[in-house]
Amino acid sequence: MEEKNRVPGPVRSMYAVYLGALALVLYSGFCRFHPFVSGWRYPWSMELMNLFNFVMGWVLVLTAVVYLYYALVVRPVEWKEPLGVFRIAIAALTVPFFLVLFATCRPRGWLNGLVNLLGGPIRLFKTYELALWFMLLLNVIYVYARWASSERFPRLFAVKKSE
Amino acid sequence: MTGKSVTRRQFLRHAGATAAMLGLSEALIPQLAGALQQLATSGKPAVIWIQGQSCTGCSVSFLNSNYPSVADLVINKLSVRYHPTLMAGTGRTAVQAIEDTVAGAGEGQPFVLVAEGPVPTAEDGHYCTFGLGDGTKTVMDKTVPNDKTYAQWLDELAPAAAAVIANGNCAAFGGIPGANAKTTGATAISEYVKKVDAKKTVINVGGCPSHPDWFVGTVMEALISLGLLPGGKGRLSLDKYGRSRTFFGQLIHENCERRPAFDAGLFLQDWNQQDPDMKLCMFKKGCKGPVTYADCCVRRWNSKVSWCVGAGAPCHGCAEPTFYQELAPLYEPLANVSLPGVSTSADIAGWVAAGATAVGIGAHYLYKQLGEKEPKESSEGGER
Repeated sequence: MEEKNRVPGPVRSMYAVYLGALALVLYSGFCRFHPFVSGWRYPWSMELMNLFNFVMGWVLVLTAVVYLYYALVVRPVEWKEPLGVFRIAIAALTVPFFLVLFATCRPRGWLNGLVNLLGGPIRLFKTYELALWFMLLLNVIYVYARWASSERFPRLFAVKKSE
Repeated sequence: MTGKSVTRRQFLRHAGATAAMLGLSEALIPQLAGALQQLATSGKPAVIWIQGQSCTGCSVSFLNSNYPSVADLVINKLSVRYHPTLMAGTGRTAVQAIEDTVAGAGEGQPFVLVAEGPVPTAEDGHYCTFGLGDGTKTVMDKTVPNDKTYAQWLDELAPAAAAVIANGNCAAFGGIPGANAKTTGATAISEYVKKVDAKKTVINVGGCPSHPDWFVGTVMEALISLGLLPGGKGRLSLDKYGRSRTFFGQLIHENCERRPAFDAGLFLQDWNQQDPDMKLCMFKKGCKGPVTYADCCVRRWNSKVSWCVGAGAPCHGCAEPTFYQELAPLYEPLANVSLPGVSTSADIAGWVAAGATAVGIGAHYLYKQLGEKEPKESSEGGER
């Protein structure tokens, strides 16, 4: 292969942090809605989970913003990776996702206007659940597509040279 | 007042208590005092209460009015000339009371028309009749007078009335009879009256049944605002569905006693989980509180004893125009996704999308596996 995929270290780190934060946001977010997780039993434990959701949301969006900066402004020349635009789109979509998350967690906070715009707390609540599903499936599709476009597909790991 | 041995101070206290009980603004107390004084002394506004496609539930609820009591209201405060459930008169005597009241309206004695239940318009309105109309018909070889339909009564009474109050969800918005309106042609009072007299004021009182305070308070507000009572002519504050903002201005969800559970994501998933100490949110069991504007949670029912959610049942949204047709099934959660022909919850939509994604990924994987005969070259380093 003449052209190999080259992914800089910071991008790997950022994406690892992003995926980790996303997984925690999705888990703690779905704990509110229980489509496949049962949620926590007591108000204090659920409140802790909601706080966790909120904090991880911040981690997620900050990572996405740094990634966008790195991908659009810094853009190292040795970075060669398929589906770059897809991942930029995901990072960009993370920002409105975070706004919905923030408004859901803090409906009377500084995003109160967004709460009203989206039709009040209950419509926002439903929007948030849909947004969780959307982010989950979008990222699943991306991870698969990225794997399918890599040279190791259909293997999970690259075969070592000695083999 | 002197005749009733009531001092001015006592009377003003009564007016203030009435306003407080009805949840009316304190600013209305002077007007209400004037109105009550007028009601108690002379010129009691006449009320005609007719029933259409109704279960009489709103009348029964009205009987639960406790401050002022219904007896006080019907006899001392208002002059209820016709009410099929409450009045003693029957037959010609009863109908005569309506005719006399309408005749009085032409002589400067206005009346308020209260309608309970929507208007059946199919089959010339013969699904609902009371009293006798013009002409005759033959039934089993006998000539009998024609029935007078509810629609014909409205045609006659609505233009003559000072205001029309559609009491209860069925009258106001069609309610349960309107859920399958094609059978009887159930039409909301406001829609029907618009065809009869487009300029007529129609005030809606939601609820199934309507809360006695909502009805009595709306009547008082209407009488004051229409200038039928002393205290000045004011502007009745109605929402876009013609309901008084005093009673239908707040979202139940905002003041619900189980709101903290909603915020915390603590939902009742199974009716057997009912634990009175937990007060789990019933949103996932079909509570319509998040889309219902009413003050049930603060006003409560049956002399402030309890209300639907307080009794462990989800709100059915009976004060809303979308009740019953769009809010049923009552024990199913509100739809999150509403597209033409599709109305479902986020859970189901999410699972369907997840299934579609899994199928797509699986199909792509199989296609690649079956399509690729030669194994690809392995790669190394730098790739992930």
